[in-house]
Amino acid sequence: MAATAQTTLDRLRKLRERIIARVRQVNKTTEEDVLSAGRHVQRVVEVAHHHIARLREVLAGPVGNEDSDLGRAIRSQSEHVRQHTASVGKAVAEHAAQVAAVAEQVRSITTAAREIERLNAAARVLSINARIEASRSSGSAVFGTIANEMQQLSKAIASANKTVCDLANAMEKSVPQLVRQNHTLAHVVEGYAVEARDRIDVVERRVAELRVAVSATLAESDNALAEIVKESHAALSKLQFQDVCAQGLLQIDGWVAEATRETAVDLGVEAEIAPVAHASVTNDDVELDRREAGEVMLF
Amino acid sequence: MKKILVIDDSPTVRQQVGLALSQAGYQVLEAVDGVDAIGKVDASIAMLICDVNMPRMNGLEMLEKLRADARWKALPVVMLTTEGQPALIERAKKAGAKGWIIKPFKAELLVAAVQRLTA
Repeated sequence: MAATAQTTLDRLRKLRERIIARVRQVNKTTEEDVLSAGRHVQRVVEVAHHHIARLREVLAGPVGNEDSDLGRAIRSQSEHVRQHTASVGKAVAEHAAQVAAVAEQVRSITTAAREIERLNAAARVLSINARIEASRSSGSAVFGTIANEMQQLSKAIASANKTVCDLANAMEKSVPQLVRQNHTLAHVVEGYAVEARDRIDVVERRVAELRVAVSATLAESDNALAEIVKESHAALSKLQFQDVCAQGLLQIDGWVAEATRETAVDLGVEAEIAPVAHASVTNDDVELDRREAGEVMLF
Repeated sequence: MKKILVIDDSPTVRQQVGLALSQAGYQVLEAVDGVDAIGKVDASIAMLICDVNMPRMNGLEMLEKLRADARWKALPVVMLTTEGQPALIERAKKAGAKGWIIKPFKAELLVAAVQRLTA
């Protein structure tokens, strides 16, 4: 009888050993796979984090905001063009004023030349009078000399005045050309200024649009990352079945141990029963389908 | 970066808690049971998340031993377990646990609880 009892207990012990070995093997396999799945989930999140950080680094620096590199460069270039255009416009206006002043000066020269011509006519009259006086006074040497000097002076003045008049005439012809050239230059400069302003406006508008698009893209990326993290949390939550199932399987050993203990009592023999594989503070069964799972109680 | 000590004999649970918390910006340390945890607790730890059923020293024993040391009286401890019996929850509460979360947990709720207790 005692031998039969011992045989029964040995069979139960071997059954426990086989159950524990198999359960641990199964748990080890599921544990390895779940750990691997967890690492994959983490990798997905890390790749998303890295990608979005890189996207932010590449886009936010050049065009992320008004103080970004591209924004500053374009503002600087636009300001440079505006200043340059204004300088050229100012130079053209100054040139126009100078041309007008030259025209006025040419007119003054012409007036002065006419006055010189009038004075020279008076000198010629004086020369003629001196010659008449020389005839009357039987060839007076004094009047003759005066008549000759006056004639020489008149000729010299006439020659000089002709040079001045020729120069004034030439300048009078050049001034309208200068005025036309100035008008043409002013027109070109104004056209360039308008075109430059239009192009600057287009560039600034495009940069502003790009900034908005970048901002929207980064916001979408942040949302995508949040979604990825949220999904990863859901995946991690689902992966927890492994621990609950592992505990549930190990609990089978507890049931067999209990059955062994009860059998030993029934057979009236002493049995040395190995500790159960699943350490638990209660004897309650592990519930694989808990309704309250995930419940958080904060005290 | 706040440090959280996760105590669980299951490597999958340690990994899952660790991933959820590290994604939320926490540094996660691990211990495999109560004995291991007692040896790893120091002043840099902001909070403990502890399983109940573990070999060598279970979570409730660890909590009671921790609270017996004046240095760790205020250290937040949340139990994370498959157990849900009111008597166990009450025992943990009396021992100074700040919370009880039943496995399988929802990662976002765990993170929210940690954020609240470490704020």
